[in-house]
Amino acid sequence: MAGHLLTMYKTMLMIRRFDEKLLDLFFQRKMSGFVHTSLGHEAIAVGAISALQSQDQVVSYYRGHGHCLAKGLSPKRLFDEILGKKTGYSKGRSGSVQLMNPESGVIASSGIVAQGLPIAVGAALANKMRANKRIVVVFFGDGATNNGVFFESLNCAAYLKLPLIFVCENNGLATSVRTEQTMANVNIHEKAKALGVQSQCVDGMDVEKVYTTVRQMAKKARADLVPFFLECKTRRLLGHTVADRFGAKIESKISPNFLAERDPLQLLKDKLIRSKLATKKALEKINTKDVLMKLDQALESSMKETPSESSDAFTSLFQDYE
Amino acid sequence: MNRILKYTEALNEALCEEMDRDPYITVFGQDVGELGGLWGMTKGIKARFGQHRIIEAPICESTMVGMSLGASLNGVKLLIDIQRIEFLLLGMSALVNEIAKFHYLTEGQAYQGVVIHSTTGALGGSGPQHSQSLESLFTHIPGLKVILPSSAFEGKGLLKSALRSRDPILFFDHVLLNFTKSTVPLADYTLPLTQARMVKLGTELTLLSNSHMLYRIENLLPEIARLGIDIELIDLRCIAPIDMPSIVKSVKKTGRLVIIHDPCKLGGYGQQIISHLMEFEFGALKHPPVLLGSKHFPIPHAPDLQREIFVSDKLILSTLALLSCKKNLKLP
Repeated sequence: MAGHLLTMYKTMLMIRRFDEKLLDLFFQRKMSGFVHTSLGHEAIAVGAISALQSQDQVVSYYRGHGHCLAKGLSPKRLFDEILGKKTGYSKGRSGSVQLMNPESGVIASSGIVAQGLPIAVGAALANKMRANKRIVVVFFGDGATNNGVFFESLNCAAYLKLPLIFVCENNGLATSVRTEQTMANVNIHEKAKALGVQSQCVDGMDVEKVYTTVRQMAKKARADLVPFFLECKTRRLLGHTVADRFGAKIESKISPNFLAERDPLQLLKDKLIRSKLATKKALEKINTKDVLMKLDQALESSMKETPSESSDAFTSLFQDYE
Repeated sequence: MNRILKYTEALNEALCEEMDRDPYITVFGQDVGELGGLWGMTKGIKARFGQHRIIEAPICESTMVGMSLGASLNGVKLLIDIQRIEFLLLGMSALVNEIAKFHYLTEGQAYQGVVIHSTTGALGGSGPQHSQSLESLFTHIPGLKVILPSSAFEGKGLLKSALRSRDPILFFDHVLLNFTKSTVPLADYTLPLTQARMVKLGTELTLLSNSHMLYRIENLLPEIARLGIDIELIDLRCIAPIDMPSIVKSVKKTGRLVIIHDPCKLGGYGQQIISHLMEFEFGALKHPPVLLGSKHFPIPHAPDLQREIFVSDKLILSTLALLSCKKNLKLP
């Protein structure tokens, strides 16, 4: 478990630093468009995806850099995509909002709130029909649980008995609006229960907790062909997007105390040191050597890649031409 | 060997043959099992293929359409059956935001295409929400193929091609086609999805139509012949993408074009075709193109009101009669 926790720490840190690099690029105007950072959400992506087998599949959403990195997509090619390079996962056609690569297991991602859920349900139905023992994990925010397809998708997964885990990253905010402003029952996992999906609510800042819960769920989903729902309570440390004018307001509400007590990276760091699984020095080495150095190299070589060519705009609309 | 089949019998046959060929084609829709579909397309399929190949869907069109994409990524083709085109509007986000763009973003890594089957057009007396021909709406979106068969023969061949395609296919039956029959060969055949079909060669006027409107025009052919104009009749079986080369070729020969379609004219594919010809083939036209379509209004229930909305046989014949007179006019 010690090595495992350290690996998860490294991946979480990779996600954190990756997003920080993007923030730099954005504010230095070195990238076009905007990004939704997953600062604060790292433990959910890493905990859940580490609990899966390599052939299992992930459906992500617009706050999805963490899911991609946790699933093993290359930081360099993710930079390529966001920076509009030919070598990006979608040749720069998608950018940050729909980062995906079916071959690597992030089979789909949607920038439209809640719309990844039906895709995940369809993918799980096909896995069940093919009896390939794969499970699908779909991530979405708390805001998505007010959308019609949320209820439809849970209903379909339940009556069709699909090997699928719904993971709600409940950060308490839909862009600028607090959950309780638009929801009478804020216990999101209860919605799932009402639809016949077994559900749990855990601390989404505790990577070990997310990991052990998803591991149990995945085992049962795979063996018994049933869906599960996991609500992970978290907090995003920045605005909805980097360009978001509410960002500053939310940042100012994140107190140093909060970061010390609730930041998922800090929590894991404390745990590793407390239980003598790593020294402070060793963790700092992970930060500089394993994470920052790698990311710097990735970004540097990404910057050197050729941008997508204008002709790339007009290919691949269809597969079959008659 | 040929037989006469009803439209739905032909679709049913296409579906059975393709389900035999590919064990991962599965039907997902409302009333598709015991009932065999609203018009009988899936009759007997449950008994023959078992319930795992034909799944009763909850009434949740947005999710049904989105599911077809997910299933295609893992090698299962869900034939999504939506009873009327109005209900498909609930699946618009999945269609427009996800499905139409998926291959563009992933370049065929896993995506194997989807087929959405639905019904368009007016049965008569079904009121504003169950009579519309909304197919033009979907032609605005890059990345979708929109197919409208015009007979049992076309329906079978096109549905088989649709189920073999790796692209997103919207397959729309006009509701009145369910009352038609045509000759269908027993032999296995497919038809090219995106190519317009030459129904009848002619020299003086290109008449472009599709779906049940084409069926009506075919029945009017003896009367049209009496007008003394030699028409070339083309079936635009695919309205997105449009087979413009076939249309241009015909108009260059005849110099005259009449388009008759069921949807209203405003923002429809008929206008798109005319716009293209005016922009790029103006010199080929001997006469301004003519477009007939439904009135741009909701479709009322009462028969006397509904009649006002649609293109009548009388209007078709009088329009062609006018053009047959004009063809001989020598302009100064």
